[in-house]
Amino acid sequence: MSYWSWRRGNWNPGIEFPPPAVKGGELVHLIADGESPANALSLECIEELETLLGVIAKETGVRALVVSSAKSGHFIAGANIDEIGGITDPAQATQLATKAQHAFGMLGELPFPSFALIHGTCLGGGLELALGCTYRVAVDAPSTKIGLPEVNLGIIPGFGGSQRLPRLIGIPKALPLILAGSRLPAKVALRRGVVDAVVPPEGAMAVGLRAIEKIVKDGGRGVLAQRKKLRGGWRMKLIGGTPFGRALIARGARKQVLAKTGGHYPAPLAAIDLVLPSTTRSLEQGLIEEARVVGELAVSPVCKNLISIFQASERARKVAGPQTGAEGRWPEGAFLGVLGAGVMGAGVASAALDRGLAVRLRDLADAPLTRGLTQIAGGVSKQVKSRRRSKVEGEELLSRLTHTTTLEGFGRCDAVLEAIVERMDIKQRALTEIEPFLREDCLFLTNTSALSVSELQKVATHPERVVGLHFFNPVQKMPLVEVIAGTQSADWAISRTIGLAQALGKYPVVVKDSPGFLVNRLLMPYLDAAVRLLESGVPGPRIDATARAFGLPMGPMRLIDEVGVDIGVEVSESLHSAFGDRAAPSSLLEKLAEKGWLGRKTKTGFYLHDGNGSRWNDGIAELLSSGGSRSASEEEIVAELIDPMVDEAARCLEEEIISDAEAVDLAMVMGTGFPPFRGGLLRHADSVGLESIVRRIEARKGPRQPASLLLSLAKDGKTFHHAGKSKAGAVHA
Amino acid sequence: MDPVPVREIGRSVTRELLARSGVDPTTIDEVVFGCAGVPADSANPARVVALFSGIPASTPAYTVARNCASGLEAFTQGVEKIRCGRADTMLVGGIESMSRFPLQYPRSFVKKTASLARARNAAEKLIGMLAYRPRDFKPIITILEGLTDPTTGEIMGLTAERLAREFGVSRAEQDAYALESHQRAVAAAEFLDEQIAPLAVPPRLDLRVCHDVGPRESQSLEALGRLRPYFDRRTGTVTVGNSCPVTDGGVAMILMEAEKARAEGHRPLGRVLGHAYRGCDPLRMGLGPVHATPAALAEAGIPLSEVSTIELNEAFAAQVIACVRAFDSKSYAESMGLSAPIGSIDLEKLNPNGGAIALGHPVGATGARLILTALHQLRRQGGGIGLATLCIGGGQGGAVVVEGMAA
Repeated sequence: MSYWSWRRGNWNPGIEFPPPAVKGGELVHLIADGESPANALSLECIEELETLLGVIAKETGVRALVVSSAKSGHFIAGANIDEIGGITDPAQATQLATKAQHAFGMLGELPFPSFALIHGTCLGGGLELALGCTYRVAVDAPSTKIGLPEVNLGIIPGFGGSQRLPRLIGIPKALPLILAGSRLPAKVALRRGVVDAVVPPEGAMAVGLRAIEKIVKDGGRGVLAQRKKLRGGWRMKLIGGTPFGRALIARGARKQVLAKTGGHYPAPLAAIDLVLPSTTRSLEQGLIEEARVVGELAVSPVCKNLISIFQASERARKVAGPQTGAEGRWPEGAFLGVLGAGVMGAGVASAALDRGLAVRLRDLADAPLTRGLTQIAGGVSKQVKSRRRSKVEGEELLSRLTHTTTLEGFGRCDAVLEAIVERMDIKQRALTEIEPFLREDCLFLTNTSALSVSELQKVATHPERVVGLHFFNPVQKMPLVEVIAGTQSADWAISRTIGLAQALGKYPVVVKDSPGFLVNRLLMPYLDAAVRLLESGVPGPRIDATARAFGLPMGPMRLIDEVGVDIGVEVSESLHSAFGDRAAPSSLLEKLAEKGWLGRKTKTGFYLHDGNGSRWNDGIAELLSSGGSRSASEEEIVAELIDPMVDEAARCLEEEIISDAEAVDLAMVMGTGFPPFRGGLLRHADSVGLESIVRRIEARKGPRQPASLLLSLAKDGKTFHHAGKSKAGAVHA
Repeated sequence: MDPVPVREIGRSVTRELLARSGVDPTTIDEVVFGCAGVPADSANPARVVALFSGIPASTPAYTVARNCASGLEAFTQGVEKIRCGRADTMLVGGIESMSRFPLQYPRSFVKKTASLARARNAAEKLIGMLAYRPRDFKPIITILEGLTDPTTGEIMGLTAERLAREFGVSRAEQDAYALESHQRAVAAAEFLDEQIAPLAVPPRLDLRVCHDVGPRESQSLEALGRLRPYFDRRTGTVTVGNSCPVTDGGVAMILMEAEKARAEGHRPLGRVLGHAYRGCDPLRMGLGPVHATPAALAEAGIPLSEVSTIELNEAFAAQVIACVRAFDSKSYAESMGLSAPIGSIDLEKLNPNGGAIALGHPVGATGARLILTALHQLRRQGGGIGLATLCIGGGQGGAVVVEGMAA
């Protein structure tokens, strides 16, 4: 099947797509209709484009070429990620880039003007194609997203984007777009000059052609004036047009990038170096340099790691449950009951309202219920204030919310989620109380972080509908959820829970019902290792600083403060009783808890938290048994923190708590902020070498000895990800 | 607390009704709400409420106005549509936000502002600005205009004063009645709460209103007695204490064709037996119930003596007592063309849980509220016949006869 098709057409296309072919018509329609649902660009289709444009250039009586897409919701969503992920030779990537640069360049060199009619996602390679055209017209539909998100995957816009965008809109405007990888709606893209006109979505082709006709008729003079105006202004000229101004931008941008990435991500820095000279050297020179840089970056481990995490997240977004077809139709008219209006319950309610579900929120008394409602309304008013939602949209969102202190009114719910106190007897009572009022196919979901779903099921009349759905705090920000199947959970119920999680915009990972599930079970050995490092004499701030330098969003001591020391004690005790000696926690946390130093919520923990900052709590020293200090290297600290997590993850794989190493990596990146450029916990372990991890764990002679899976992999010289390449399917670059 | 808009009042009761009743919104044939003071920002508030309540866009909705009986009218519209086979499930109710009645600029202000806007130069502008007089800035309180009958120019309170004089209702009787209304409402607080859908006050949702705020436990006869007559300061007897306060409120109910309700296994509160509207003298609009009730009872085929609970809206204590006397009066019956009095009303059965004097009178919502309270009272009694009736500004009465069903 070919990716492109073309035909002559006239200015009145009617309402059908594709527009009818008209012999000798003044237009050439070039229509993208690839095999992938989002029109991902491959080497093959770029070569096809090159050939076609050679043919089209010879057509006579043509006044304009219009590039459009046959896919609904997508123009061209980017290059084929799997293709880029598979590149191992820099020359190969450079060659691909050069081909694309050339093909897209041909679009602008035809004997007649070319237009990209952008309706739907137009990202990465898709926008670079559009930038090759003489003009761009965007359709103002919610699906239209325009941007160059390549740096998020560890590469740079390599099909001409890093050169053509700054030439179009100026360096000061182009650089932030490329560095943030932002996705602009049509109207914003117009304001920034990325597109030249915006048309309403109804009858997009016909209205789009009308806009195009106008541009063709005045020879593009209006557009050029508009572009000049957007680029112009003495300030812009001063900044973008002088060596001094450019040096200033470069310094600012580099500083910002380094502050954000800690220097772990080479792509944004490379992008700065490419964009800055883009307007002062020839396009040919710039494109050659761009292709060279993209070749280098594409084979870097950071790029490979980011792509693997991206692919895993795309799969999680689309994964079906054990019973395909049972996911249920979310969020269309779906009705979610939420028991417990605490921070978690209200957070889940907000997420559900945000995604279009109706929500009924319950708490036992008026006061906590009102607090939950206020939390939800506060979130909405923030969105309205920041213009992310209109006032009417905010009212519509809240109109789907009802609230009660009774058990009445849950009969039409498609799912009821409990987010109440973490005590089995209380959760069981909540279940038995509400169950008689629920429809038979209504899910009962428990948002527990530690209690057994199977245990909860025991009191249910319909245990098959009970499933665990573990959100992370804060719900709005954390993209991971653990879906926990109890022993009696039905396949349809698990599938439907996965469907709900996806509708809420989360990445679900299915885990077995076992203490701590996956994320907390892996986090505890890490936190305990940090506490033990502290006890051995490594200063706390140094542990945290090292963890941050490694790429974690916050250090372990600070994380304990955020979560709460008491909760740490509780979880580690339950894991200790489940897993025995290797999970025996240090007694330091208990000592903190006894002093009432519970972390941020009591303003004192490992750190002293006052209004606007925090500093290390020197009182901790008195709680430590040894007063000595130990000088450990950064490598040692990282190894001591990470090794136990790797070992515990190996055990989770052995016990089939989770399906595979890729799911572990996704869960750790999305649930704990494990640095994505390292590709997740197990990809990091693979790159460090399993043998050295085994050796270190054995050398520590502690109660934790290497898991048998870890031992056997290390012995055979294998890796966690040895199973080979992951399945295909993702786009966007 | 910032007054809640009509659409939010309507949405919150409708969403709660749909949740509690379990009725699938897609099966509703039409939505009707009564609203006496339609706000300027929604010309058809019923439609706005329906859409914000998750009722499909394909389901039509309209708003009716019959002054104080707007909510009753919405209800009887639903009944009639089902009776004649044009619908089998109707969502009906009444909504009102009296605190959102606007203040208006006087006509003179509007006129002068319009001519100022047409001024072409500085001199004309100056002249235009100098034209304003202090009285141009005195706002018109539309709620007072709304409570005044344009055909007679009389405010509602004065029609109550007239009834008090004609039926010999003393100030003491009125105050005693008002006190009783508060006492009954306070005693019935729990019963009334069950009928209330809690409302979280937008935009911050930091206050959940779960109870009526009107009934006063501490209300005393002495305090009522100290109030000065409000409408007729010299010889009058009607005070703000023995009249109903105009308030905000909303009611929503589902009406369903009986066979369908049975087939779907719903447990309705009751069944509608008959209803009627009748006109009367606008200067004696308070007697509306006396005119409408016999017609509604006749349609239902039920004598007054068999009615076990009556909700008669308490616009004014004087007006309720006048109604009770007129019901039992041979001469008033004759003036209506009846040969015998309609019947005597047992005061124990009249507004057993208090009325508008304590609970308030959200004008367009009240009619539906009376039916709802009567049905709940019948459910508590284990069944029986109920009557909901009210007087309507402009000289009308409306009445609905229902049969309650035990839980």
